[in-house]
Amino acid sequence: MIILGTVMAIASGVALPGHMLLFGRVINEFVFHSIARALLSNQNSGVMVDQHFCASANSSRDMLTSNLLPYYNDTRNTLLERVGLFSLYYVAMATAVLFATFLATVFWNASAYRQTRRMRDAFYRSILRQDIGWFDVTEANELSTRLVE
Amino acid sequence: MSVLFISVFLLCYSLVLIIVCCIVCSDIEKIQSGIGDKVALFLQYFTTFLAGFVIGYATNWKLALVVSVMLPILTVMAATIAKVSIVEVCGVDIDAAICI
Repeated sequence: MIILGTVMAIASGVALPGHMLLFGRVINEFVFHSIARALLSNQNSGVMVDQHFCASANSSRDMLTSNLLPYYNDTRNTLLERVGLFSLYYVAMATAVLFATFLATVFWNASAYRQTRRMRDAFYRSILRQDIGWFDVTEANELSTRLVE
Repeated sequence: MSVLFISVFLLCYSLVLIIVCCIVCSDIEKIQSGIGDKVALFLQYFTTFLAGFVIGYATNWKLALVVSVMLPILTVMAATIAKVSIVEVCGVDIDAAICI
């Protein structure tokens, strides 16, 4: 049970950086949309945009060209579809985090309660086994308080 | 293998916590809160910390390296704020079970 709780806690911990990653991707979609609009509207200024992005590394240029293709066909609807897809990813991640956090809390609290109950059982059992003289020395009220709290 | 390691680590952590709590305080309630929900929260925040590092360096390691220069300053600031404000948050009883 502790192992499952650990896995759930780790899963819910990964969610927050995942949110940041998804947010970056969403911003990327808006940038691609504006680049496509600039390229399609005025061909002269389009060359300037291309040169600016060719200056960066090869991998980001491939990402740009492969991502711009759907925007050339249908600029507005592609943005809507892409951002809608990302919002669905957000919903999926949110439900996953909900279940993961709930299950992590449940498992860890259940295991803690079981351990505490075992501790209390052992305590009570050891008290019952003591000599009478021990009860003369120790206060009874203090014992019961220690047992419960 | 890593699952085994994690479980051993957690058992040792619980054991150490129990021993420490039995030395410091004699209330079983505090022990229960120490080995319960707080471990899950600790794991969650620790994983957020590590995953932030991993995702940052994997995506864009130069930018992540530049931002990592701020880390020692942030650590000192967080420690100072925690030390100064813990008496305000918990009151005089710092060992209370509710106070994280």
